Amino acid sequence: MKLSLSKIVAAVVVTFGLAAVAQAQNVIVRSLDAAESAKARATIEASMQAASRGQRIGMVTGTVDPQPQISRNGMVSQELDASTLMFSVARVNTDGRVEMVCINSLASAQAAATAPIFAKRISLSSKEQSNVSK
Amino acid sequence: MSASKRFTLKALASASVIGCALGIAGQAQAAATIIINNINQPGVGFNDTTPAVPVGGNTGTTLGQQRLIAFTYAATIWSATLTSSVPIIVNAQFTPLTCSATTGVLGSAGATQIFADFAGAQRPNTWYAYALANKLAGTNVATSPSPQISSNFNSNLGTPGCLETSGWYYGLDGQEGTRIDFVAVLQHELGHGLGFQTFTNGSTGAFNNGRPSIWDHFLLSAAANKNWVEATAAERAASAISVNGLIWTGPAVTAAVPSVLRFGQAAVTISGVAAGAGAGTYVAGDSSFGPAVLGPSISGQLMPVAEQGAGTGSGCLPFNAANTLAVTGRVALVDRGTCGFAVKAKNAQNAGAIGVIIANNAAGLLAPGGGDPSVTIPVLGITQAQGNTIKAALLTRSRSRSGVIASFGVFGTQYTGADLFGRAQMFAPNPFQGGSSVSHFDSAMFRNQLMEPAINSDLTQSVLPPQDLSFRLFQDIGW
Repeated sequence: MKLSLSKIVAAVVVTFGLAAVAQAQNVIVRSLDAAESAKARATIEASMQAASRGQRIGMVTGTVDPQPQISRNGMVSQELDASTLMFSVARVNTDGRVEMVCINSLASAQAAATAPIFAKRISLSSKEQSNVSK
Repeated sequence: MSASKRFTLKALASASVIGCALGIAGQAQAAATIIINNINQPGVGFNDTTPAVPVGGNTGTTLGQQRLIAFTYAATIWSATLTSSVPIIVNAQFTPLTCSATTGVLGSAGATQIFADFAGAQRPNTWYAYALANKLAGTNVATSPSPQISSNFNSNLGTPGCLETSGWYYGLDGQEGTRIDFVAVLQHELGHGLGFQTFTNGSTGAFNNGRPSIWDHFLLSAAANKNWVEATAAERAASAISVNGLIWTGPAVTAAVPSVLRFGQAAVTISGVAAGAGAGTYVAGDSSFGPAVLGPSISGQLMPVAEQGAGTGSGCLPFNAANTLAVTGRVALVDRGTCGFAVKAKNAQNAGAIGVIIANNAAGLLAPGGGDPSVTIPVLGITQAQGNTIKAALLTRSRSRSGVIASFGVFGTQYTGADLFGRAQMFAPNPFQGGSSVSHFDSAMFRNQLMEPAINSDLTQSVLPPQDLSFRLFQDIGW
C-alpha cells in the first residue's frame, strides 16, 4: 500500500522521563488520502465479512484464499485474512461488572458476544471463579 | 484501579505532546517508531467531532481527538519498549461492531502478513509476524509493503443498545471505573499484532501451511517433553488442552518469572489453642479486590459473622453490634451467598475487621470476584469443606474471642502460573477455547498479566518486569 506522508495530520512526539536518560520516542499519526483509506476500509471489511462466512480474503490485497508466496531470494510470505485477528469482547454481568476476554476470529468473538455467559477463561483452581462476584 | 499502580502522566502540554515518567530502567535503548494510519472517513471514528470533556489526562475535546490521543498513548508504551529501525505501521479505525445492551465486540487487531526465510530470520522455515520480520531484517521485507497491523474498534460502544452503561473510557490514567479502559484493550490487541501469537492451529495442531511459527520453538508440550516444532500435530493439540502442560521455554520469560509471579499460592493458616482439627494451612483463592496477599499478611483471631435475620446472607448487611464486637480488630469469616463478595468485605471492613475469609457455599475453591476500590483489607476464599472444618473449631468461642488464629500468607513451592521448573504456563484450558487458547499467558498467573486471555482491571500498563512478562516473551521471539 502506498502511504503518503504528505497527509500527516498530527505528529505526536512522546517524551519519556527515564531514570538517567531522557529519550524521545515517536508515535506518528497520519491520515491516508480518501482513496487509499477507502480502499483499506473496503479490503478489511471484505475480509471480515468473508471470515464470518468461513471464507478467507486477504486483509491487504483482498486476494481470495491467499497462499504462501515464495520470492526469488527464498523468502516466503503469506497475506493473512481476518480469521487470524484477535478480538476483545466485553460483557456486563448482573452486578454491573464488566468482563472482557480476548478471542481469535470474528466468528468466535460474535459467538461469545451472543452467548449467555463467557466460557471460563480459567485453567487452574486458584482463579476458578475470578469472574464470579457473589 | 489505584493511580499509584499506573504510570504517572508527567505532562500534557498539548493534545499532541505527551510527557510521561515511566519506570522502565533497562529499556533506555528501546526505540521504535509506530505510525498510526487513521483510515476513518471525515466525521466518523477518529474524526468524530462530537464534543467531549477531557478525562483522565486525555485533553481531547472531541470524541475523535480523545480516541486518537488514547490510541497514541497505548502505542507509545510499545514504542518505548520495542526496538526496530523499521517503522511499525498500524491501520486504525473505529467502526460499528457487533453489540447489544450487555455484550459487544470491542475491537480487533492482528498482523496483516507473515514471513519466513527472510534475511535476518533467526530460525529457518519459521513464520514471523510482519513487524517482527521487519525488525529482524532491518528493512521492510515485503515485496508489496503494507501496514504491519490492522486494527478496528467499536465506535458504537456506550451508545444506546451497545453496552450503553459501560462505554469506552479514553482516560490515560487507568481510572476506568465501570467503563472499559480503551488503553488496556488496545495495548493487549496491539501485542497480538506485534507477534504475541502462534499461527499454528492449536485445535488441530496443524502448522500454518506446513511451517511452524516462531512461537512453536518455545512452546513445550510437557507430556511429550517436546517443543512444538518437534512434536506431532496430535501432541501439539493435546498440549493445547492440557490445562497446565503447555509451557513457555524462552529464557527471557523464564528468567523474569521470579520477579513477576508470586512464589506460592495464597493460603490461610489456622492455628491457636482452640483450632483443634481445624489447624493447618489451606490454599485459598485470591480475590479481585482488596490488597493482594503476596507474602505474610494479616493475622488475628478468627470470628464468624452471623446472619442478621433469616435469609439476609452472611455479611450482607451493615454489621450489628454483635457482629461488630466479634470482628473488630479480627478476621471475619463469612459464607458465600445472597450478596456480592465485595459487599461482605466492605461491611466487615466498616465493622473494623482486618481481613475476610469467604467460605464457598458449593463445591470448589473460591476466588472472590467483583470489585470495590474502597476495600483495603485482604480477602481470601476457601472451600465449603474447609469452611465447615474451621467453623467446627469456632463453636467454643465467646462473643469476642475464639482462640482460633487465622494468618494470611502464601504456601507452596511453585510460582503462580509457572511449572515446577519456574517456566511460564500458557493458556491451555480443556475444552479448547478458540483463539484464547495457546496465544495467551495462563490465566492462573498472579500477578495478572497484560497478555492473559481476560483483560483484568488490575493491570498496570507496564509490559516489563516486575509487573509484566509480555516484553520478555517478545525478546524470546526476537524483538
